[in-house]
Formats: sequence, structure tokens, C-alpha cells
Amino acid sequence: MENKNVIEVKNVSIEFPGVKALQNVNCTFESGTVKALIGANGAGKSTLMKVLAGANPTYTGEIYYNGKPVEIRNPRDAKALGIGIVYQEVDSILTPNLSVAENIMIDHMIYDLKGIGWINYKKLRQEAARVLEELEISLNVKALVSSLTLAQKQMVVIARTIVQNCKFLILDEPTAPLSLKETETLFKLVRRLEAKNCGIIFISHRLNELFEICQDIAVMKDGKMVGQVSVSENVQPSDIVRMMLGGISLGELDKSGRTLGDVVLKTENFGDKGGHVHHINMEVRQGEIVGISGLVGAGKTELCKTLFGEFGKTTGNYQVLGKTASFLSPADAIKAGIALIPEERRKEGVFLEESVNHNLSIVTLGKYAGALSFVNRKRETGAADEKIQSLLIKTPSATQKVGLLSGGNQQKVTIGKWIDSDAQIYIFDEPTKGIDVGAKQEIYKLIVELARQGKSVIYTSSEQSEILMLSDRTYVMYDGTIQKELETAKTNEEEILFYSTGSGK
Amino acid sequence: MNKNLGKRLLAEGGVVIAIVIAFVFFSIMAPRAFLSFDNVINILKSISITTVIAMGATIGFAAGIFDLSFASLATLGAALSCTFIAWYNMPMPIAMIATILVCMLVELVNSVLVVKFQVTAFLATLAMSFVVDGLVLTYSGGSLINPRMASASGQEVVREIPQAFWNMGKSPYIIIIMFLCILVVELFLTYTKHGRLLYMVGSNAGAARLSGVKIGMYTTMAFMLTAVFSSLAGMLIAARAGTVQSTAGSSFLMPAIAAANIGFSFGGRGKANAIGTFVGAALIGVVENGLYAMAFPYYSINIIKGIILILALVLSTLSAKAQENK
Repeated sequence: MENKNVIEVKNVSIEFPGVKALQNVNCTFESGTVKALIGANGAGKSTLMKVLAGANPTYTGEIYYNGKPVEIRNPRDAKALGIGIVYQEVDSILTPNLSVAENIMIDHMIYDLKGIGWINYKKLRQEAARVLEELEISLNVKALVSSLTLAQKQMVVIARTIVQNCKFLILDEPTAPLSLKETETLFKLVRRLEAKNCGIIFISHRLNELFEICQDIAVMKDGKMVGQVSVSENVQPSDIVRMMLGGISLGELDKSGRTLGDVVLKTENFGDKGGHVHHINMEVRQGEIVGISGLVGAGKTELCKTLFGEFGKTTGNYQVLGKTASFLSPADAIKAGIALIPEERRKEGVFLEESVNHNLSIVTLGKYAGALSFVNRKRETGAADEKIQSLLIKTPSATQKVGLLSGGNQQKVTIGKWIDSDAQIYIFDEPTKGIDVGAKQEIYKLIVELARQGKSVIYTSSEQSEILMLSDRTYVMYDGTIQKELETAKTNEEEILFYSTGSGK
Repeated sequence: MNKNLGKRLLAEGGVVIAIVIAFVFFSIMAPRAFLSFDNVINILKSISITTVIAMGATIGFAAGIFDLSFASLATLGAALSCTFIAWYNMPMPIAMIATILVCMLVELVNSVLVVKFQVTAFLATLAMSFVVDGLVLTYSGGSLINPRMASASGQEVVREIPQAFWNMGKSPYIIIIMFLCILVVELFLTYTKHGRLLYMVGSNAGAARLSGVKIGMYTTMAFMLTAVFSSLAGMLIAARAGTVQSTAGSSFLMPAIAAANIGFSFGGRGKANAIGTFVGAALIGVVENGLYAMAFPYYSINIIKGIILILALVLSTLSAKAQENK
């Protein structure tokens, strides 16, 4: 264990069209330690890790391995240095129809077998079993990967990386999809690897677990390394949060002219049968804008979809506009007066191949249809033109395919399909994701305008500043449930982030 | 600008241009056998069954369903319609309705498999087409069905097939029926609420669901309408041929799928549509008829048909690209 391996990153920068993704980043990683990398969405964590894994070949700056300068321009370079990465989407790396053994040994099968390439399955399984045993992972090597749980798949990916003589292991948000128990198992594995002189780089949003497993914490913000501390020092989670935020604000938004009315949506111990979200207690009043805050994987989208009937039967008590609600499908939720603007805009919000016109009329098509359900096209286009004007949708014509519009305008179309419906409660799931700043402002104004008209708004975002600017109250989610309710006027980003990371439990 | 216009014209009206070129080509190559009013009627008659059967496929494609059982259903429709009259003494209208209902029942099973059990439509209907083929063979006792003769199992002819039934298979009636079907499907898909929502489900089922569209209902509806057009086409097959072979419908499977897909690009619509499907069927019909007129060996005609389908698919892909670069 004496021979320590060290990777030094010096002045590494990378630029993507329009974005400086990394700016002069300096960082050191040592074998036998666990180093955390933390930062808000888009801070550059994954970009930096992809540089180390050879997936970002266009970086500038130097990387040293044990003092010697090295180039990591493709995944093979990274492999040669013993750098392995476990991306968040483990499913996309594994071959579901092959066994655990075959998946662990897949690089061996691809690169080491020469000639015809007969596979000695017995040896293959023995070798895979040896690796699993070494890591104390109990898995049947003959099992098909498709039959495993997500946590087990993750183990397989880690084993597969280790089998290639990996000296540094990058784990990109490994705990986001895991339960508490699965996380513990993963941590045990991380500690074992650490003891074997492997260097671990651990990306996570959850502050608490970083303090539990890591020795060092590196904080990134806007493509820069803004702070590096050792956990052994007297560091508090709030210190890290302060570094992550660094004081950003979005300016003021005029939210006046609204009157809060009765409670229109209320849940008690609410959740879905699949357990994505549980023990949700929330209330929304007429004209109110309620923020749902939380990091990626906290269950915000799942909560939105559960409220909207997408997951079918629910548990607990759920009341919408004074009536007990038990939605079996989104159609039921819509009938009860709820609208959803989903997070996956291109996949779930709009019909990319269809015209603006047809997109805008889908919810209320019945209104424009007359005898024999023939659509009155004049009324349909008239309504569409009206929406295009009032929502400031930039499109050459109503017959343009929505797929050809910009992200912001696609989002306006998604909102537009509801505005002449009977919806009283609007659920916005990360509506400004991937939208440019100007369009963001317009979306904010639209949301406030809806609230002025007496509609209620539920608004999820993983950006604390957005929640602060827009909402009256906010529920902070963590691990599928509401961790804390905060009055927006009396809170700040630090407090929201504090609860978002599972602190204060 | 001009170049773009030319490109668009080629992409959106390419099939029509192809028909015109084929028409001119065959008129020159085989002026006597090809170029006549009678032959045009002949071509229309020859594509009428393909077109009617392809209307079902068109609705399926519109809803994003690849139904492979519609051709076998046509065989079933052919076998049941004439024998319901001849062997089971049903008046013609009742026999026709009963036939349609039986075919709908089969498609109902398909839709349950797809909607409830989430089986891929392609596979569910492939399996179902075997079942239906087997049902027809069992029903006919493995032999050719001739509604003028007793069945293999000894079922006597108890009612003569009325002339009205045979007329359905003759021109001009068969051509009129074809155009009526095109009209109905065009009106339904393009101008009604349900047609529109069917397209929306086919375009993005997830977004449709989150917009409150009952996608299960529309999937089922597409299957049901496919059953209607398949059984109707089956009746035309029986009426035109006078007898029903066990493979009567399946020979229309590929031409119908080809016609519907060739039609995607028509008018820049980029999706299955009734008029496009008709134009697609017409292209295949003109080429087939022209090749016969040129005394092209009949056993080699499928080679040409296959090549036309390939060209048409390339064309419609180009059309989609042209739309994006507009």
C-alpha cells in the first residue's frame, strides 16, 4: 500500500458552444482516499469527470499521473491509466440479456480473446465470481442482468470496472436511485475499495452521506473549483452549501395583484402504490404559487405525476377542489381540474412531429368539434392564433411543426394547450429546464399571470433561486417525501439546500 | 429557392410524378395493350381490393400500430360472408354485419393483448394471423370454399347468393366502393376529433396520455376500424373471385403495407393517410398492369414491386428530411 498513485489536474478548461463548461480547474486525486465532488446542477462535475474518463477529448490544460504528464483523449487512455467510471445510467452500460459473469468480463471478451474467440465459460464464471468475492458482493454469476435490481446492477458495473485493474474509480451520483439500505451496502463496498488502495471520486448531491464516506470534499460552481476542504477539519454542511451557492440572484419578479382563496388541493399521508413518493402532506390555496424544491432524484417529478394520476391508484388522502380524488389516469385528473406541464418537454409535453395548431388544441379539441365530431377548423385555428399572440409564441405560422421551435417556445406551446381548458390547478415540473434566460423570464411572468387569474400553481425546481423568486411557500423534498415546509419570505437558498441534502433530519 | 421548391415537389408529390412517368412509359412501350379507357378501369378495379384492405392498415399506422393480421382477417371475411348466406341461410345484410362483427371480435382480442398485456402489436397480430388462417382452414375443412357447393363437412347450400353480392366484385361497383372507403377514411382521419386524436396517439402516446387522451380507447378503435375494412375487403374478394382460397387475403398483405407506406409522403403529410394510400396502391397497380401489358414474365413482377417499395421508402425519408430543413 506504500505506492500511492496521484492524479493532478492543472488548469484544465473546456468550452462547449456558448458555454465555458470548465475554467482553469485544479484538483488532485490520491489513491486510498475517497474524495467528494459536489456542486449544483450544471456546475461542471460531470464534465470534469468525463475529462478523466477520456470522454471529453477537447480539454486544454495538463493532467499529471504520478508526476508524469499524460494525455487522456479517449476512454482507452483512461483505461490504460487505470481510471474507471460508473455513470449514473447503469442500464445503458450493461447488456441485460447476458449473465452477470458475461457482463463483468465483457471487456475481456472484447479485447483479450484472439482468433475465433472461443469463450471458456467455466473460467469466465470463476474469474467473475472471484472478483465478486473479493468485493464481498453476493450475486449469482449465472443470473441474467435483466433480473437484477438497480443497486445490484450498479454492483455489477463496479465489479466490471474493478476487474480491469482499476486504480481510480469515479462514481457519478451512485446513491441517487438507491434506498437507504442499498446505500449502506454501497458504502461498505467503497470502504473496501479504499482499503485496497483504490482512489474513489464520489459525486453526490447529498451532503450528509459525503460527510459519512469521504475524506476530502471539492466544491464546484459554474465550471470553476471554488473550494476544497478536508472533512477531518471542523467543517459543517452549511459551509459547503455557502461555497456551492456563492451568492447568485435572479432579480425581482412582480407577483402582486393576486388574492389567496380557499384550499384547492390537499393531501394527507399521500403517496403512490409503487412507493416513489410517500407520506406527502401538502396544501395549495387558490391563487397561490407553491414551490416544490429538492435535488435531482428527490421525487419531485414523481410527486407531480402521482398528483396527476399517472401512476394510478394512490395511498392516503387526496382532495381536489373539495372532492376526494382517486385518479386512475391523467384523464381523470384533467377532468377534476388539474393540468401538468411535464419535465420531459420533448418526450411528454409536445408532439414534435405535429403542428403548433394541433399541439395547442389537443386538450380542448372537443370544444371545437361539432356534429359527428367534425372539427371546426376555423375555430381551432382562431383559438390557436389567439394563444400564439397572448403567449408570445415565436413561430412562422400555426402550421409549423413544434419540433422546429426553440425550447422556450415549445414550453409555451405545452402551457398553451391548457389555457382554454377548465384547469384550476397547474403543476409545472421544472418548466425552465434547458430554456434560455429571456424565455425563462416570460415563463415566470406567465405563471404569475395564471395565479392572478385565480389559478393555483405547483412549481418544482432544483434551483433554489428560482423557488425563492417565484413561490409563496415551498416544500422541500428529499428521498421521496417532504422534508420541510418553508415560508419563502422567511427563508434563503442556504436553508432550502440544507434541507434538500437531507440535513436536519 | 427554386431548387428547394423542386426538392419539395419531388418529395411531396413524388409518387404522383412516378405514376405519371410509369403511365407515359407503358403507353409508349405497349400502346395497344396499355393505353385505353378500358384499361384504366381495369387498373382501378385491380387496385380496389388492395386499397380497401389498406385503409385498415392506414388507420393502424396512423395510431402507431403495425397490424399484421389484417390480411388474414380479409380471408376470414371472405369465407364467412358468402357461406353465412349460402350455408347458414342468412339474408345478405345480416351475413355482412355478422361477418364484420366476427372480425371485430378477433381485433378486440388483439387490442386486449396490446393494451392490457402490453404485447408489441407487431408480434401479437403476427400470432393472431396464424390463428385466423388456421380458423379459416378449419372452417372450410381444408378445401377451397365454393358458396355454390356443399361444404367439406357436408353443410348443404340452403340459400343462393344474391346477385347484389356478386355485383360488389364487379366494376363499376367495386370501384365506387373503393372511393367511398377512401372518402370515409379521409374525412375521419383528417377532419374529425377522433381521427385527430388517433394521429396524436400515434405521434406520441406518452404526451397524448398526459394531455388526457385515453390511448387505450384509441388503440382499440384503430383495431376495430381495421377489422371493418378487412372484412369488407374480404367480401369483395369473395364477390370478385366467386370462391375463397385459404390464402385469398394474405396475398394482399405486402401490397397493402407498401401502399400505405408509399402514401406517407403524399402532400408532405408525413404520415399514413387515405389519399396517399390510394396513390400508393395506384402506383403499384399501374406498374403491375403495365408490366403485364408488356408481357413481362408474371413470376418476376414481385421483383419490380419490391424495388418500387424500396424507392418509395427512400423518397418518403427524403421528404421527412426536406420538411426539417425547410
